[in-house]
Amino acid sequence: MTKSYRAFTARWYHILVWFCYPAAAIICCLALQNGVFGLIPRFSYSFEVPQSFLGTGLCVAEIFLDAFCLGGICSKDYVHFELFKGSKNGKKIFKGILVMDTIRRALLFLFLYVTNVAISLMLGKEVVFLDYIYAAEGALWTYMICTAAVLLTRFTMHLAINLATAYAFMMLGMLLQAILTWVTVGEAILATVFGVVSIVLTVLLLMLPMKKLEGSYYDR
Amino acid sequence: MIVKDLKLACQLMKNGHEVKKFLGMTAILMIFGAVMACFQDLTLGMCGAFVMMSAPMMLFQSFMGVNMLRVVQSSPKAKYLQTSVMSTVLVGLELVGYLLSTLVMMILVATGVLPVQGIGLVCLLMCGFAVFTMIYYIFSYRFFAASTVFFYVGFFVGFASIQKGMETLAKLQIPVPASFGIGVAVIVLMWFVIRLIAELLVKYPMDTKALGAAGKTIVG
Repeated sequence: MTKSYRAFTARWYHILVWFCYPAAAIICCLALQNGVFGLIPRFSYSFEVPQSFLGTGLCVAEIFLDAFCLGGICSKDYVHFELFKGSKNGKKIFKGILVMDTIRRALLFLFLYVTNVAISLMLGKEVVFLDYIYAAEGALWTYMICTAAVLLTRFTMHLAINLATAYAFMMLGMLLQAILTWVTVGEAILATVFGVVSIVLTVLLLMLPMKKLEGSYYDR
Repeated sequence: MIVKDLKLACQLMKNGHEVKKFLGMTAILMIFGAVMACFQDLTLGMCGAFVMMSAPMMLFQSFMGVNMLRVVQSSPKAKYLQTSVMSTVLVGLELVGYLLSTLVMMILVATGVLPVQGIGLVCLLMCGFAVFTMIYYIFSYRFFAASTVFFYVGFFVGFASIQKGMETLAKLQIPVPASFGIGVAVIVLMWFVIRLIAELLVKYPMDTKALGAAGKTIVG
């Protein structure tokens, strides 16, 4: 699975997602929780704010990167399936790529959550149990928004449309964040809803490109 | 000459790839921007105006998609399309975006949704944003990666220093019609700058990465 994914994507992509992303996440979390390294103390947040803020930013970055990796894969004009279609193991390899990409995305959001919590504890901030729940909820809804946006952008091949979709989803995410502060539904119910929707979207993210691969040239 | 350029551009855009999606995304962004501007907050109103102003720029990608086709690049009109027509389309779309967003802002001011104070400032900031994006667009179709990095860095630096810029501009107390006029004049005069940059850049090959996944598919 990892081998297929490594073969499919470029080296700069791996450097970006496995090194630059986590480094940027750590730096941004530190900056947002520490008042931009003590320079602007009023920008010192507890960890649920950086979680949502960086999560929505990550959504845009993910779409930008996906446009160069699996961009437009569900679009009717996508023609780069020939090698997978013609190969004996093509379907298996392609499935491996999709699964690995999804795992990587989920891991990234998990990493952001863990980093946030770890930095918060490291800085000695006063944290109550509910804060962990809020931040976990933030991680879940940002992952949900990101998955929905990636799913949608895979139906179009143009970077401008992909980025516009990313910005639209980022705004939707912020709107959702604002709505969540007004809604009085229990946190457990919200987390369950986000979890279920995220799972459904992830399954669709895996299923739709596979269906496109399995279809013949005349099915598109 | 301008009418001739625009006619030619419209004909080309009609034959562009995924034109309906571009038009749909333009409409969605316009609605998004207008909704954001309705939140009775000047900062959100400004963000909404930026979104509305960026909406017609979607069509520029469609135009550039056609320009990148080999059949167009090998035609005797390639240079003319990539200098004169491109500058006219870019400035024209930016002007349409500026006029539409100021019109929506004025309607919101007239209906009492937005306060009249600060609208002049927003017009000037929108003009600055228009100049910045036009320069980015002209470079991005030749050197995509470098110009995108500069764009994001410049955007965040600009966004961080917006408060200081607004304070300086507020001291000048420029009336709303004058700010609007300055904005229109600057965007129109940018045609000469854009044309000059386009003439200088025409010798460099087009960067298909700027189109995302469509680059490989429609250009080959």
